Amino acid sequence: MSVPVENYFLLSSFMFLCGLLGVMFRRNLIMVLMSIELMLNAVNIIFVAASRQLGQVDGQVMVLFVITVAACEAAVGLAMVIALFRRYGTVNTDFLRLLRG
Amino acid sequence: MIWWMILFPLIGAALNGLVFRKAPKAASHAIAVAAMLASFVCAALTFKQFMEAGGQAQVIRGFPWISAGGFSAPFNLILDRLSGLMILIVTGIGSLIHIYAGGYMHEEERTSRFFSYLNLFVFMMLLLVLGDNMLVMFVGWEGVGLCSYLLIGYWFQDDANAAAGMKAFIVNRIGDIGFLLGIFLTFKHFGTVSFSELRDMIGSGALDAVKLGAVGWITLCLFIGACGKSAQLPLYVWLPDAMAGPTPVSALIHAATMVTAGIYMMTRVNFLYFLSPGTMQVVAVVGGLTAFFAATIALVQNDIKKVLAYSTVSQLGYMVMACGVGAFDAGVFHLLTHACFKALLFLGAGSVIVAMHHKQDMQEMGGLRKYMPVTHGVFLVGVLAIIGFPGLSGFFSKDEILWKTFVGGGPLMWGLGAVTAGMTSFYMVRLLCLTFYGPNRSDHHTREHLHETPALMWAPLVVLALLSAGVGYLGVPEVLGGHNLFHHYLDPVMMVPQQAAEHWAFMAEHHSHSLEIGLMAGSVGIMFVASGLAVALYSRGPAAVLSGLQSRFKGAYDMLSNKYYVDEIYDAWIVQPLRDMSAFLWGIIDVVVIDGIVNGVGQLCALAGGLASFRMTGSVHRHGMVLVMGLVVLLVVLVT
Amino acid sequence: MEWFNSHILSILTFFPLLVSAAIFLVPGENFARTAALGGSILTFLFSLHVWHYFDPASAKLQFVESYIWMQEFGVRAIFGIDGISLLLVMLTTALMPLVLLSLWNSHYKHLRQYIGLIMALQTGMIGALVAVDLVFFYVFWEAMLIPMYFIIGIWGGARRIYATTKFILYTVVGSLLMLAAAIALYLNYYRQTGIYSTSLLDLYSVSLDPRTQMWMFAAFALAFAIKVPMWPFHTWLPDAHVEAPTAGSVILAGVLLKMGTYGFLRFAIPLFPLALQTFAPVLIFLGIVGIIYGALTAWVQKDAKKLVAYSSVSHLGFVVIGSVAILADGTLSSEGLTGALYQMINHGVSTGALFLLVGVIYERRHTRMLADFGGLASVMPWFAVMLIVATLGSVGLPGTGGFVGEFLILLGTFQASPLAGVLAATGVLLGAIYMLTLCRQILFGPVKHEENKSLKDLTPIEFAYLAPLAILVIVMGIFPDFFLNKTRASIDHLARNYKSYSLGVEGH
Repeated sequence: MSVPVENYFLLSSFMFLCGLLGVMFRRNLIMVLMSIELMLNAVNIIFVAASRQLGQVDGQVMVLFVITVAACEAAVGLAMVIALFRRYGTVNTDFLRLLRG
Repeated sequence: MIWWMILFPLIGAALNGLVFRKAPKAASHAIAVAAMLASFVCAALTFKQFMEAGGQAQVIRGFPWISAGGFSAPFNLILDRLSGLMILIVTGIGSLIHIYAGGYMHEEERTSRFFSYLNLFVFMMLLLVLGDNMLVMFVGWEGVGLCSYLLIGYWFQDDANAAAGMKAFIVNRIGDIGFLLGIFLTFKHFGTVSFSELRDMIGSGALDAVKLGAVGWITLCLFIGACGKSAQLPLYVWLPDAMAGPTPVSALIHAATMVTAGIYMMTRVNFLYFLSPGTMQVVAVVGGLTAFFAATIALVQNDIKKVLAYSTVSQLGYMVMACGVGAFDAGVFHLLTHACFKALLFLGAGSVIVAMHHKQDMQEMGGLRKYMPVTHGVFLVGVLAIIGFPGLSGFFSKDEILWKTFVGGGPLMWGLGAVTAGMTSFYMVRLLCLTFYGPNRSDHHTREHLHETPALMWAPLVVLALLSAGVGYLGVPEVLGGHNLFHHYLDPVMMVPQQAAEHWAFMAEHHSHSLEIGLMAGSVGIMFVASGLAVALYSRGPAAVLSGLQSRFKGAYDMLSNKYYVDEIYDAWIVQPLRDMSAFLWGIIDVVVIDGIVNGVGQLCALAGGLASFRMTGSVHRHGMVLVMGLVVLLVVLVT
Repeated sequence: MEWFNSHILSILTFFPLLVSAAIFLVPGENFARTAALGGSILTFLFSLHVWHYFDPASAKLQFVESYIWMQEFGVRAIFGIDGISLLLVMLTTALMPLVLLSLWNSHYKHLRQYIGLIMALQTGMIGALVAVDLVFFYVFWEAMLIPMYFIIGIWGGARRIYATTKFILYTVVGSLLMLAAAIALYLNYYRQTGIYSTSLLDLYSVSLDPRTQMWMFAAFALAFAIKVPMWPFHTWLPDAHVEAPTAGSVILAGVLLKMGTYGFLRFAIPLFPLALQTFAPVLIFLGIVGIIYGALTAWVQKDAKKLVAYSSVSHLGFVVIGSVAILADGTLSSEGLTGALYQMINHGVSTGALFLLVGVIYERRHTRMLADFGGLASVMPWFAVMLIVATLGSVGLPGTGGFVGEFLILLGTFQASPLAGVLAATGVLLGAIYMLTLCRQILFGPVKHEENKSLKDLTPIEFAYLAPLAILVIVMGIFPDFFLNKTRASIDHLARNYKSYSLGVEGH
């Protein structure tokens, strides 16, 4: 039995939206990172679904890339969060405003 | 041989200056003297071989030095009768002064640095006289300037000495710019800077008008160089200050050798000077005026070395005047005799200064004849030589200059020279009387220690005294029954053009011998009168009538004893304004204007950035939202 | 051997970078010191190899290496060396061991990183000199800035941040303009031939109309003029020098400034010959102003380092006027160009020595104010010897290299324009004034300050890095032909044919 491809699209859109809103509104940097991860995975789902639908393997190749990049990003991001926590004692973005002009 | 002659002093300098810096006095003195004597022997042998070979100019090839584009200046030497004579003077008198210096510097803790500089000076001086092109000569030219700088400031712990050294170097550099411009012009118009090639070029054919005009500029530029080195107006100011150096230095550098480099250089390129009568006139007038001007200052100086210094300036003026009237041979002859008797006078003064515990004021001397008989004797010979006492060397050389000035420059120039000669007699006899005769005016302590100097010091003086007395007989004028060996000795070096040669021949015929003898008698008469006046005024110490004279002619006296305020004028009109301008350029133009613009641009950017950054709250969420909104807008635009 | 000869330039360029990487990776200051000194000496030996096998009779590029980098954009990594760059490469490689030796006993914080950056800087400098490709030249040109930025910014004096920012911004403004002009040149070449190429060997053949040349020349010249630095773009230099640590100053004055004048010879003049005709009087004017202005301002400085910095403005003014002296027949003056190149080397040696000497007394007294010294000649006799030799080289006393350079420059300038020659010649006098003032205030007079009475003379290590420079000052004055022989063919080729310049490649 095959699930219609539209369902995957819907799921992926929902996940992406969740991630986007998370990035925009969560105050905790860890949660922000996880939200970014969520967005990346939403894209992955769409890639795989489309790949299956179109019968081309490119999409899956791209997913492998994305997973690798996401892993790196998570590693670097978490390291930075830890460094920030050590330095400022918080990961709440309301208190991290170094970029203020 | 000739290379060894040059290298020995350099080796001596290196040994003393780099290897044995901590050597005891006697050792450093021995090294330096050995180097000089070796060099002198080589010079004598070189000269002997050269004269035996016929005395024709020869170029000795060295190594390729600078070459770029069409320019090339190999490191070649020229050996001709002129440079042959000069190397004898430099190494011969140099050796004597080196020997003397060992005694003079006796109180120093170490002398290796001193002798290293002194040897280096001789090396540079040899390069100067032997260089076959202007550039090698220039190496020596500035090299002797460097040694002069180092030696004037030898006792650098005293700020005044360091200042005097610096002044010498910088004033010389003004002249050196003239020399450099002369080199550039020569290369531009003749394509070579080699003396021998230039000479061949000029000798081989007529020059077009452009080149002839260029020669005028070249000689003028070179003369500026000569003015610097040979202390002519208006660049003479460094020489009196240079007396800050140890006295052997004054004798070697600032009397016998280096300061005559200008005369040597003009003689070296006499073929150019003969082609430009305009420059010659300038040279003659500057020389005559310098001789007169410096002599007036020397009349009232009380520092024994200052008198000798102004006397040197004045005598150099004589030589330059001789060059200016075309009598280069007379100039070089006077150079030779002056080297002997002025070295003698300086060294004699040095002995006096040592005996007086480094007091140089003649007002505190007097009556030294009793205490220093040998020094007195040789000094007397020196004084008689410089004032032109008949029979001594100065008589022959000075009268040759005066006679040729009369022929080549006219009675007015001769008058200038004769008056200067009178003043020379006056101040030299004054110096002699104040120092050696009359009552002793020094304090008790000094008088107790007055004594004759050791043989190491007076022996060279005796040799120099013999030279001062005898060397004049090389150039006994024909009118006195001599052959004027010297005049014809230099003939191959001179390149008197047809026209000038005819002029000289005409004048020689035109004027009877009686005129020459008459002029000679005249100048001897002036000498006796002036000397007599000085003896009358000073032989028993400064006569009482003098203070009356001083107060009556106070303005003139102050003017002279302050050296016409030339130093003050230079300082107020040239040095200070330049310094103020520099301070303005740095303080205002650099720091305020240019940096103001630079920093202004920077601040402008910062201001603009500050204005634009009011939206930057630093909140990641705000940034993210703006990002997303932008994305949405972009999507909408792209889709529709 | 064959392989070595055909790769020597990339080895020469990237070997210091390797050393630098090793220094950053391996902890420990001793390793850093030893590796850097050994590495730089080895680099110097490599460059001696190049010097030895360089064919002086040929004006072509030698030891050429060419690698494809971006095929479709025509970017190739081409390295080559000719008589002009050879001397500058030798200067760079010879200075580096001495600079590193001067750091042997120093107590800087983070010495390892400091040394590592210096080694990285060497790659940038050699690369910029041997790169014959616009893109690579630009990359190396900018790459030099990065280590220098940190060297001044981290190990500098009190106002180091201001100085280093000023230095970087000044330089970058110029080089961005140069980049724009370079891209325009590249596109013009494509338009004319249909091929993309960034190689200078190709770009020399572009024919541009005079108007375009003017713009491009102006952009290139501005970049180089800032680097030189020519008046009135010089104000970054005194600040950078005063704030930079000694080694930084030496490299900055010794090599980095020459990149500007080298740029004129390699790029601005042969690429845009028509524009040069128009701009030469401007450059000569600015050069002369620089000579006199630099000398006068140097005279009134109270800080020894600032004095030397302003003297660089004056000296480099000489180099600029020597490079652009156009004779009546339209060719450049060979004498002037030779002198300019030689003066670059001399300035590197004598000013390098002067900065090191100022460093020596700064290390002992922690001040550079002239008024704080005086009479040092009696306390530190060897120091006095070195300072006097360096001074003489700087004022161009005959018998030192400075004379040969200045003389040839003035000779060339005088042939081109007597007035300019006369004005520039005053620099010879002014140079003596400020340098002797420096000497006098530091060395002569009584020892005024109690602290100065017990100063130690040069240590063996200080002696070891100063003596070669002092010897070089004199050797370069006595045997200039030894150096000039290697450059003669290239210089004459540039002087005669700069209007239709081309660089052949040896062995092709």
